Amino acid sequence: MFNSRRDFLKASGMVVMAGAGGYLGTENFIYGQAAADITDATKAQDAKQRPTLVTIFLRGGADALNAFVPAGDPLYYQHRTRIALHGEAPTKGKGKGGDVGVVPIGKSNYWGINSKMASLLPLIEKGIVVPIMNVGSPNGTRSHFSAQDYMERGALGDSGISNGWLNRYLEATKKPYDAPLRGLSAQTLVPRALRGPYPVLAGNNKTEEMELFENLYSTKNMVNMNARDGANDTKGSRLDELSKGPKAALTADSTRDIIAQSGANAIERIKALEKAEQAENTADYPGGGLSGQLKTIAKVIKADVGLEVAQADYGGWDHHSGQGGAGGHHAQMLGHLSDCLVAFNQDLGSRMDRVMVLVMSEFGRTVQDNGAAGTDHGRAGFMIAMGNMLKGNNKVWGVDKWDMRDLDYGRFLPVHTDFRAVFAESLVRLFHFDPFQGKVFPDYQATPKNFLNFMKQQAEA
Amino acid sequence: MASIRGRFIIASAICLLASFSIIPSAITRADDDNNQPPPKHKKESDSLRNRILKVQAGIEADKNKPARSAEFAGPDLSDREKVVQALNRMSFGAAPGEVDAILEKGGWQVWAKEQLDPEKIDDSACDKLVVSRFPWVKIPIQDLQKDYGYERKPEKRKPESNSLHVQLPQCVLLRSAVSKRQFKEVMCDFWRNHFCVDQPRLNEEQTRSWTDADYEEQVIRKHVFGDFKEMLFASARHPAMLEYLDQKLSHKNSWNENYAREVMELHTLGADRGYGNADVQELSKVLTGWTYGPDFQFKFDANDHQPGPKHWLGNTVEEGYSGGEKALYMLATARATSEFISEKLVRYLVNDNPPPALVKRVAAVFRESKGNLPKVYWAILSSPEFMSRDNYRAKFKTPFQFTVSALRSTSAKLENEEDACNRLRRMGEPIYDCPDPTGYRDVAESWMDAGVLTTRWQFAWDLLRGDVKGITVPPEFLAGYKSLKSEEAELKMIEDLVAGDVGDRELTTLKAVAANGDFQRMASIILGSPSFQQR
Repeated sequence: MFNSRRDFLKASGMVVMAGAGGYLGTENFIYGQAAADITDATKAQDAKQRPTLVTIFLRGGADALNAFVPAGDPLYYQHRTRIALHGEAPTKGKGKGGDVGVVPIGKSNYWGINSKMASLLPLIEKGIVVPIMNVGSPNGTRSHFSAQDYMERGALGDSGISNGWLNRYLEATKKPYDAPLRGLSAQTLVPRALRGPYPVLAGNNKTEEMELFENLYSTKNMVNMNARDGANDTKGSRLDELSKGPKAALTADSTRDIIAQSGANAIERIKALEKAEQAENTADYPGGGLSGQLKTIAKVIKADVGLEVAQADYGGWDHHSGQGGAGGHHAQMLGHLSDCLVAFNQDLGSRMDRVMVLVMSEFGRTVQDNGAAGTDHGRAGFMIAMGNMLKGNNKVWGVDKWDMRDLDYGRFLPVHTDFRAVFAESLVRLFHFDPFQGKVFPDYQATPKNFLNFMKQQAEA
Repeated sequence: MASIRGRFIIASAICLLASFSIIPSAITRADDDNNQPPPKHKKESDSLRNRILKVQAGIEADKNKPARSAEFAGPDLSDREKVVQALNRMSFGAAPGEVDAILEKGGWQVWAKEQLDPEKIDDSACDKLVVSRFPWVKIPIQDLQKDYGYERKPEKRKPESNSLHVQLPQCVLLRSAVSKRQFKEVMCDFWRNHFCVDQPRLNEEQTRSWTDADYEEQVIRKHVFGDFKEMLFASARHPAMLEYLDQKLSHKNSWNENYAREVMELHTLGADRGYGNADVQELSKVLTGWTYGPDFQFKFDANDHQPGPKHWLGNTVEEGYSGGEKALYMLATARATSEFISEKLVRYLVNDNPPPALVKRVAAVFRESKGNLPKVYWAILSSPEFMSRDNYRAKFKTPFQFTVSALRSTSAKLENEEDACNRLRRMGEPIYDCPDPTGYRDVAESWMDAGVLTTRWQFAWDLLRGDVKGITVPPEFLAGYKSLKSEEAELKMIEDLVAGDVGDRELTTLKAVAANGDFQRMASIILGSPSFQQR
């Protein structure tokens, strides 16, 4: 009856899709190790010990200079004539606009932080929050779409890479017994960074009547129809051929198998998420969109189900007009972001030993403000990292104080750190994973010498 | 209907056999397979992009792929299955009763030939509906701006100002669902992706939020049954494309390479087909001065044209508009173009992995006919591969194909498609909003992620309950089943919605629901089932 391995797998109720397309389940027998060999205890242990990288994407190009302010640099005030932030009340006069709204970082008489973000100062002081300036893309696009895309793909314009860097990490490290929720998008769509061959669930994907569809999409004991068509005859050759790899043609049967597997993956992940969400948040988050997403992620981390990468999205940073000064819209959003980070840190407590948050945006803004109390698309921007494994040293990273004199085209912050250097360091230090070996950044090569070295190496699990 | 019943019994029997027959030899064999060493990563000599594009372009398609021999082809498709295959590939899926109607009229070929001559099909009902809801389809571009263009100031807005970027996707969805010229609509979907332009958010500087509407009419729909060359020229000269790929920003002494690169890589030759960076630069210079005027008509601005001859692909291209015209003509008629386009078409109409032999034959027809598209289409549709069992129901519906087929198979009435278009966005395929100039990918791999099916389930469920705003499944659709016994209703619905082709789990699940007489739920289960996602 069973002339092929695939026939056997089907009949025994094991997952069937090894090889066919190569983009299916997590349970593929890729490294010659059958899931059945691993005990539940091993799986649970493995899931518990995984660190987690949480990315927060500020969509729209958030202004770096309104978050981390070179308040000790007169050039800053020459460029920002309307919405600059001052340490003390500015002398009024032409070109001296703006208002008080910046607090010094550490002992720096150069760098300050937007006073709406002051809640981060104690964490910066402890070295577990690291502001990174002048980080960006070697590609100078000023299109939101392209810049977000390059950043989330971890690859630049012409590389032809369509999936995300976080997904490539998951795919490169998958095991036959992976936990269902290694990757999670906290909003309704799977963002590009998490898209790709490895199945990742977007939160909020619950479907009414899921039980009905669950019956349809379980792959257990799945036997294909088309019996009358000869597809299920005992030759077995069709199925064998499919298992040879992605180049094999898709037939009706293999297509249906793939679809069923994909649906089963979704249901498995939705259920795992529902279970994980029963954990409780133990900090006061501010109200609003980002906090909801971070609360979900915090719960899933507390549930110890093996979450490794999660992304939250926070949109609305494209302040061409109405960015405003110390009390402006942009400052309010920065305040919300900071309060969310503080709450997340408090919520997770000592778990932050193994959790790192990385805040990023596709580009920064023009150094000059425009006539509409806003800023236009720029080049380098900022990131914020948070986690107990950081060695922050109470300072701003990635830039020295003279960079205001070295603007691109006289208008943009220059890029000193390729965003992929930060991504790569995160993967190396957090997961002990070599992204260059694993081809996570196909058009980028680096060594630890290129890293900012803002993280301690995590102890091996 | 008896045949479906028969299939169910066969399936159950196989299921039983399967669960009892795990024999030692099979286990041994499986273990052997599992003990294979892990596959090693091959050294990448080429960039990933090049490799992907090469595979897309078919250059490497022959390698590593065993030729499928006839012995695996399975039995011929029955006449009925041939109709189902034709409807799956040449339309957005069967409407209720359509399979029977085509069989009565003489089978799939009769229907297919009608579809290849769309002007002879009476589609006045659809045309009337479209014109009444979307009068702009008849308005020339120079007049479109007046009533439909972008207007920043609220006090200057007319009732239809700033509305086309919402109306155009609706219009595309409506036509795809209700037109009788189904093959035309299916091919428009193909070419819309091939000559992809997107709609930016409303913005003064970017006019595509309303010029795309004219692009749909004058570039895509006008030439879908014409010559490839004409469609290429129409796209190259249209303000939407001139803006989308930055051609209008390409000036004398500061040319922009975007369009020159993509017209070779994406629209004609395919990636890495014998041209280099220097060729991209030279073609950029050739095309400087191609722009449009304030009336949104194409304009060659001789003052903004890079003077002197250019050396491109081994040719000397003369200065002036005629140089650009000749360059595009060369691209349209190049051998690589015939192969690249044929391969994409075969992928779309036949299989994610296009049979190389068929691609070769189709490319020859492309060259002989000088890119006459109906002849190229027919070369594919009349091939044995098109009707082979290997390729029967072997494609995974894109979100757009899924949505339109769900509307067609339930005879849904469309009054407003905005909600449906938003749902398409959530499924990852918003109309006229592809993030990349490549257009949406046409392989199952691109669409299969863990969350993708849940949005389809929700759509299926909401559609049947009337919760997709502006769209109603008429009571007649379900009434037809209510008069039947539960078992008969189940079988008929399976026959109607997925041509009788379901898996055993679907049958079991449906049975339970059918017993309760809940036809609404039955239909939504079928629309959400694996079988309905196939075409």
